[in-house]
Amino acid sequence: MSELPRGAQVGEGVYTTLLWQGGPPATWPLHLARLQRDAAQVGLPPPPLETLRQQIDHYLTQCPDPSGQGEPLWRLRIRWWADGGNSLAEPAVGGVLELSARALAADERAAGPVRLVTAGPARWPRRWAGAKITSIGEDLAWRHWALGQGADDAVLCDAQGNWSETPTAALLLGLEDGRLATPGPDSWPVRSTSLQALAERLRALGQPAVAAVRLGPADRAQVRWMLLLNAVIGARPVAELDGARLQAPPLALQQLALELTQPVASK
Amino acid sequence: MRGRQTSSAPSSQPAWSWAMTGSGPRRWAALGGPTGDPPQALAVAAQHVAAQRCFHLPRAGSQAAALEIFAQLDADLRRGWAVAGFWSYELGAALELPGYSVGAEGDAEWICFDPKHLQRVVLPAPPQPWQRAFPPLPADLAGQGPAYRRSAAEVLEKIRAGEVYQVNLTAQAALPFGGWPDALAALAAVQAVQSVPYAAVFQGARHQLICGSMERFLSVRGQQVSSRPIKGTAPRHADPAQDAAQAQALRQAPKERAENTMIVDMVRNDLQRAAVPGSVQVIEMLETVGYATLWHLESEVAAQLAEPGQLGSLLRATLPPASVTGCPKIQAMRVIAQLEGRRRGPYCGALGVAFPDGSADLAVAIRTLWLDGQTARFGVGAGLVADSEPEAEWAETCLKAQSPLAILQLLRGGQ
Repeated sequence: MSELPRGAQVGEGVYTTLLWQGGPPATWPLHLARLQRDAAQVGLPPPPLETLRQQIDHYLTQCPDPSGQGEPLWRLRIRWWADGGNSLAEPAVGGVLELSARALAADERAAGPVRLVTAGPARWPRRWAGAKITSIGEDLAWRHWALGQGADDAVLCDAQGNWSETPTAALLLGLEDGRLATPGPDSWPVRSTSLQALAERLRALGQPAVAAVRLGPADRAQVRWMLLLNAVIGARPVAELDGARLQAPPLALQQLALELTQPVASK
Repeated sequence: MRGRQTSSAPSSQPAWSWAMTGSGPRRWAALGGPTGDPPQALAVAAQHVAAQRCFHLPRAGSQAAALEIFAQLDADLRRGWAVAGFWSYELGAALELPGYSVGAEGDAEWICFDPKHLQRVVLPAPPQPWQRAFPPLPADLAGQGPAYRRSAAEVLEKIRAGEVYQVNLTAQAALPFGGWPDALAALAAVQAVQSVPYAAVFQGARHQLICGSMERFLSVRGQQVSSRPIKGTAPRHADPAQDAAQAQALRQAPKERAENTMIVDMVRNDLQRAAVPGSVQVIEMLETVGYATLWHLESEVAAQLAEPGQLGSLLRATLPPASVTGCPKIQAMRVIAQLEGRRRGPYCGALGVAFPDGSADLAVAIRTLWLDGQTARFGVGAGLVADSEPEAEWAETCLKAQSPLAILQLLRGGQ
């Protein structure tokens, strides 16, 4: 029996999740850059980016095609774990690359509005804050808690109740004065490739910049709408936050997020 | 005022000179050019035509059918054939909006040939000297003004509501035109009206396409791909000082710059889907280029292909061209389908030639006529952004009708 990699037990692991359909989406370089940056932050050696694409292509061609259409839409997860002993007294050695994929369920992308409740505190200054580390069990526990409250997901907060993100998605908010906002780094959200790509697109389109700000319950009256972003769902509007209704986000923003995260079928 | 003027030459001129002989009474199947003096194009004798492809998308399952078409294209190129033809707007739309396409008029057609059989042909003189007098707007198109302005107002409402940032809204004209012009004469007529880099004629199974496009959709050389989107338009003026002022005003107009900038960003996004990560670059931005009938703002985006030699994959990632859709692209295509309510067909698709070594030159099929033996059709349009005015956009649309109308006028005179 093989022992789990050290990263799987001790937490020295980083990951990214994205869609793949014959190839990656346009945000692929951002995923690679984040893997590299997060690995450095966690103290891991650089992931083997130069061979990663070939390994993914090779790996996915070995997988049975669940769609029967010849070009399945995969939800691909790339993990880069520390190897070595399981004692923190010992330094991490090398790295283990793990790829896992499953066909995307029909209701995972561009799904309907979601109801959120605030949860936490679940974000605080910590050594690896901002990195997309593999230890997300506590975050997912908050999601379970939210489901128990009759909501669909949880907005993770810091100790002062400021919003940060959901366990698996970044937040984009539309404010009353027309500004676009996202919780800033002092609320400790993970660096989101989808949010970064969308902000860059909006800037290129001459649209308002996305401001990184501190937002919490006291700012609720300023928030007109809220959008969840990640590389799998694309964009999902928030219908309710803590039982209070929100307006529908601009459709153009949702569509941009979908386009940015959609891979291109190549065959 | 005739010809193409630019303050600096585009980074790479397309090697756009090709021709195909067809069979039967339509001697020429496709040709592009001309180049040189006297004007000439490359041709292939009829006996060297290896295969002809013609595809219609089904109402149901059009996405899968579109992928099959691209697979066939790559298979033809892998066999060592060159191909020349067109790929319709609906072919691209079918990929993103399943069920949208209707395959009534042909969604992709191309002919295959061995590139070693290319030969040069000299083009005839234009059917008659063009007097540089633009024909009046035909009643069919002029009558669409109110509907276009209403649709434009709806687009602006959608922009204000945050549904979309830009939409390229078009209209189509249909004029009686019997018979089939000689392809060489048609190509000469295109170039007589205005010198454009993507003049071409393609004789398909049911239609003859006469292309007077100045817009590069995709140019591939080795691993390098480039696109040169056009957005931003102003009329030319007979007086040189006023003409220069028009160009200057175009360069500085916030609305025109916004149109172009948005489309450049979309092209970046489209190319990135097929490119080596991090290789997409904007080479040129907001270049003012003058043609006989108008000024345009042009930009150029280039990238390194992740899979060189896979034209089908590249089209899969980029068709329809960004400049004829809007932003966000798919949402804009939905709005276009809703407001235009009819096929664009070859118009706003891709038209061009590709070779087995991976090189290719495809134009955005604008300023393009398609003839069916009884009727000549063409489409014209304009990009609408937040500060557009319906009346001005309709005027721009009508301005763009000048060159196809002038080509028709020459062809009528020459029949």
